[in-house]
Amino acid sequence: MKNISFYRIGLLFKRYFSENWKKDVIVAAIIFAVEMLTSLEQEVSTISWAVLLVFFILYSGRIFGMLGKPQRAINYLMLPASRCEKLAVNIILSHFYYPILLIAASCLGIWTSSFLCYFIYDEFTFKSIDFLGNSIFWGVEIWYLCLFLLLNNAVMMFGSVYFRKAAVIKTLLCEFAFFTLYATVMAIIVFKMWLHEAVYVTADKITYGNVILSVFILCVIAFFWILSYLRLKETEA
Amino acid sequence: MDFSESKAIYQQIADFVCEQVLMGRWKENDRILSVRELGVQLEVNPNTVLRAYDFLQRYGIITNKRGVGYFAAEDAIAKIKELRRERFVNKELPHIFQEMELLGIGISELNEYYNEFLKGKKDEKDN
Amino acid sequence: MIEIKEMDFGYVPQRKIFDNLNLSLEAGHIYGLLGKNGMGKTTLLKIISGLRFCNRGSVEVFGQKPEMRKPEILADIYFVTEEMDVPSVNVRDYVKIYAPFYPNFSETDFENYLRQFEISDMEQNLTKMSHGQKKKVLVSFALATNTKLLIMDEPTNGMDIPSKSAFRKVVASAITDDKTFIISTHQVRDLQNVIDAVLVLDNGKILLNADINTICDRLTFKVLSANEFEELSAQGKVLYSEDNIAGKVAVCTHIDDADDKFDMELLFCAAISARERMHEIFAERENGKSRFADEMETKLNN
Repeated sequence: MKNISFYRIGLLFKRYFSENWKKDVIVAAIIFAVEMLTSLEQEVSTISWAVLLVFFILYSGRIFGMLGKPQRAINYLMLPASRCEKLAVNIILSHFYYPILLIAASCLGIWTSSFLCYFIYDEFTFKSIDFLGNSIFWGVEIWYLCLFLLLNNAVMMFGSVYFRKAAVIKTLLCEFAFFTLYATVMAIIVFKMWLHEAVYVTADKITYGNVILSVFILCVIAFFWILSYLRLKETEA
Repeated sequence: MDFSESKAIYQQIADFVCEQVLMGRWKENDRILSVRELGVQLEVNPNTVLRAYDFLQRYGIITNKRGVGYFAAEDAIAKIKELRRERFVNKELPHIFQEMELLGIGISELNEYYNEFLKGKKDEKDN
Repeated sequence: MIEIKEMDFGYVPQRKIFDNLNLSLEAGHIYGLLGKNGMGKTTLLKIISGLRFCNRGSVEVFGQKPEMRKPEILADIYFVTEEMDVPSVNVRDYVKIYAPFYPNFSETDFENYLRQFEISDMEQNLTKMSHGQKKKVLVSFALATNTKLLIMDEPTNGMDIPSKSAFRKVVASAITDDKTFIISTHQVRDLQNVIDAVLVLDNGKILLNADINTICDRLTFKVLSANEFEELSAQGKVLYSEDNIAGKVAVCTHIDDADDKFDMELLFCAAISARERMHEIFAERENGKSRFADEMETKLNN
């Protein structure tokens, strides 16, 4: 295709890494240290998802933050690469590179603690990693995790398009307010009407409730993307 | 170069070139600065320099050898003096005459001043 | 090079910034874009570079619509914005990252321009530089990309006096017959001698688009004595005048044997205070048909 050149995609990646490698190394180092220290005492370790999620949210905020600042948006839009190339690079960075970077840093942290244990307690047990704690429904949970990441990215993009300054914080506040409201409303509805049919994730099978919830989240994601797109069209760019 | 308010920029550039030739900094028959080089030196648009060069070419002060560049003509100095003479007679003299008329200065009085000027110049030389 | 036809634009549909704007720019010129605050100079530059889309009409750059943002077109446009956002890298790395996007980038040119601006430290981080320093680096980079279209929004803002002189030098050395520079500016005196064509943007339209030779052919800028002023005023030749120590500085319709002096600031004042006259004087096109007549014709046809 004429609109996709791997050379330019390479240049876009080079641009990202040249400008951001220091920040990424710092984040990976923090995750590594946290995971290493928290798993010293345990034989089977669980990745601290909470820590990862916090970093992930901040990261999405950063990636989409460039759309919020007018000058940065102009620089980015004027870069000689097609829309497809820019989109591909951003999706790879936000949806693959960063989750993998964080998880890899976590695993390395946990495995390093195995060696540390060897020096401290004089016995070597290679720590196995239980990705999702004791959950036996991990297939479903992975699915929800992915949905959550997508949703988070969509909301973050929306937020950075709407708020010019301190987009991440404002978006988080709004998100928090929205979800509190949403949770309250849902709790009331769910408890009154759908108590037995379960919006909860109860099994590793594809249930009625799971499908509805998944479709709903996907719709919300699409909704945010479209909203951001419209807003982008009417303001900058 | 200080661009005075009284003349168009291209004329000032033309004057600048003439000045360089009269002062002997640019020799007759020698290549002179290219349009771009002079533009950079004087901080003006190359198109304006081009217009000045066109003007000088029309008066035979410089010549353009295609693909080589601009050269000061072999009789550049004579041509420049001719141009200045023309300008003096057509533009500056009328002003002077007008002023003379206004102030009541006759041509004989002017002659006196002129002789004084020549004398002063001669004295300066002798010293 | 750039063709804008019957273009309308407004951030909100109720308030049009541009109303039926026509503009045609040719290669080989340095255009100075002048206009009062809020007339939409920056917006026009954004539309030309494809950052904003017009509501009506057509915009073409190199025969293509800039809003498509095709990489080959983007590789031939560079936009130096008034405020800058730079990544946290040093000058050398900046070039390594961004230069490969521009196929005609010349490292030698870049070094030359930096030398003119007296910037020698290639290891300095861009984010740690002053506004003026950053601008000098970005202007050098922009000129070195050798794009066919270079747009600069208030480039001399924040530059000190020697830098402004260096700016004129580098711009004069970078322009070639196949390039177009558009410089929007309020600091007319800084750039008067490097600009060779003037665009005046006023009330949603291009009030004036003429090269300086044409302007000098049709207008005369002159210091007038009281008598001359009265005489010319009576003939309806004075478009605009200002009091000055020497008398009245005036912009008049062309007077035959006057020197073709030129003053961009006066031209701008004349343009916005005598719109109709200005329009008539510059309406004549080379083919003899006036732009004004064209507009009347289209209005009648509609």
